[in-house]
Amino acid sequence: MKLVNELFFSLIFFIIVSACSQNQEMQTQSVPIKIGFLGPLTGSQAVYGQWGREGVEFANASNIKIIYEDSQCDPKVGLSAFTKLTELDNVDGIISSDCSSPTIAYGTVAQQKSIPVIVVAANSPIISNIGDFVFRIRYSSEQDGKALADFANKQGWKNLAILYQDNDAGRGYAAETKKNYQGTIVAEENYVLASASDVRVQLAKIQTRNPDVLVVLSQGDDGAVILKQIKEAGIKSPLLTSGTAFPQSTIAAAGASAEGLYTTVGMYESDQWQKGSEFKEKFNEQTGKNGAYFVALGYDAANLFSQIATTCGKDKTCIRTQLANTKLYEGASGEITFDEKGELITGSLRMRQWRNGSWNVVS
Amino acid sequence: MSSILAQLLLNGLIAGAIYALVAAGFSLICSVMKFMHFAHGGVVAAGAYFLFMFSQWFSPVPAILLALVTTVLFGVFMDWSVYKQLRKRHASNAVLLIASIGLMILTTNLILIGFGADVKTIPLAQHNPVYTILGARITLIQVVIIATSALLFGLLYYLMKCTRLGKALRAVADNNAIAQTVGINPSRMYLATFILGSALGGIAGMLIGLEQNLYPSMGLSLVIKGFTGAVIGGVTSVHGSILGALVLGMVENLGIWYLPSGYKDAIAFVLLFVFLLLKPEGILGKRFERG
Repeated sequence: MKLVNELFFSLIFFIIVSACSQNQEMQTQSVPIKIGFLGPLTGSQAVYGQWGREGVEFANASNIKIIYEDSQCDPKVGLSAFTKLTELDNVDGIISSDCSSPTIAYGTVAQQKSIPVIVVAANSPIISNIGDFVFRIRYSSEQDGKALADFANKQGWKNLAILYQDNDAGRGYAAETKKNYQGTIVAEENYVLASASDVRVQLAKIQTRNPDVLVVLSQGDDGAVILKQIKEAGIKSPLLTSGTAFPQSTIAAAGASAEGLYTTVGMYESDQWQKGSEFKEKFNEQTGKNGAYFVALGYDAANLFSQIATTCGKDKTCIRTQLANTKLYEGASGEITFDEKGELITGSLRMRQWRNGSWNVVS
Repeated sequence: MSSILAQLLLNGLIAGAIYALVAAGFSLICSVMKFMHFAHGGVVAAGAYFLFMFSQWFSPVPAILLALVTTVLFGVFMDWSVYKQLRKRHASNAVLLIASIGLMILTTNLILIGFGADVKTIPLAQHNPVYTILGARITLIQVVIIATSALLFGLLYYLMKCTRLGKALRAVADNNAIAQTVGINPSRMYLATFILGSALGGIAGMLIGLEQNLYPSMGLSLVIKGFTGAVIGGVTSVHGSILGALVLGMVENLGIWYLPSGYKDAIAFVLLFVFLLLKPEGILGKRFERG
């Protein structure tokens, strides 16, 4: 009888243990991993945060839970939002659809805490060197600046002037352009975001140096006003800029002042990426909005985390390794493969020109 | 060189006129109500966005009138819903100041929700010819800004100096208690102040919107410049504020011709600190009485 009892209780014990472990396994599978989203959701750079957010929301990645925080494009605010996400919400990864300065601030801490970060919007070259937990899925200012300088060199423009926003991103663009340009830099002017609505004096200074080409490196809302003021000042030099610094909404807001502008262009914007074209169509159909490059990048970042979560769960080191091993991932924004620094490996960028209300690829 | 100097002076005048439009409404409210209405920047931004909204549906004149009326109502609503309630509770100026900053942030975010984060252009501003005066280039909208500013400041001067309303407003601004003894109703004067101040803010917003495009946080940067101009000229004097704003525009634009461009805002704030330390009442203002 004693033996029967022992067998009976052993059976019950195994059933309970087995049920518990099964339940735990089921819980691991059903509890979504948490991903923090950081970007400027308010302020003059909010467009970058909003685009990234739209893409993330469109991804419909049900196995990840996204917690959104507003960095206001400010390193201090971004860092405190990051601390909230990591300390209170215990997120397992970060999608940064943010400006360069806050991304550098919290990216460095994320590296120390071994939290994987996918950078969607920031383009400063400093981000490349933060560490192996930070991955960027857009092309960097290094690639952008080189493309601008190469184009100016090929056109035979001997004197170049630069006007850039004085922040990490703007300085990064300007440095890369200068590094690769073979002619003479005749003027280098900058402005801070707070005074971006009036750059007339900077333009007057540039005009006195009579450059063959003017490179304008702004981000966000200020681009349209700057283009208008360039035309009003009567500057006739060809204008060059980054395609991501001057998104389509800026071109539309600038109206006739954008005529003749050259920008860099990747495969997504030039409709040479089929998955990108399909994404744009689907996004437009469901939201009535145009899928800007940063929307597609937000979508890809969420999908990458979602895909990796099925393998890694909440294991951050595993997530990092899986991200580092990403090869030829066919995202909406393009093909994603990272180099040893976590930078997107991309083909060379092309140049396009805005003429009569449409883009023409010129190189 | 003379054409460059002319261009710099003209740029300074345009910037100054823009700052002055913001500073005038800010200073009017500050002198009568005795608190810093930083949410005036929100009223300015609202003016620009209302014009953007109405210009989608109406031709220019009704769109401008509707935008002006709506902006005035918005400013008056701010006073009625927040400041008036706080005044009833005998809130200090510090509380009103904090409330105004809160209202400024709220307005920016309401615009963000209503209109989105991307930059907007008012369709009326698409055709903007450029003229050359003494070698300096100026656009039609900039001419309109300078002309409208001059006209408004003239009207404001007449209103404040030559009408019963203006005299009553100045009486309340000078001494509220004595003004009441001669039969002036302060509540009505506060309402009139917000109507006038918000109308000035609305016109400023519409003109700036035509000149510079629209983005949700535009009001904050404008009210900072308006406030700086007002302090330089004398925050308790409407005319002093206008003068201060013009000085600010000129000094900023002439200053960065010689200094690196990044110092533009530094010039404005150095000027602000110099006045706060050495002449806090500003060029034409009167000292706030301690009490």
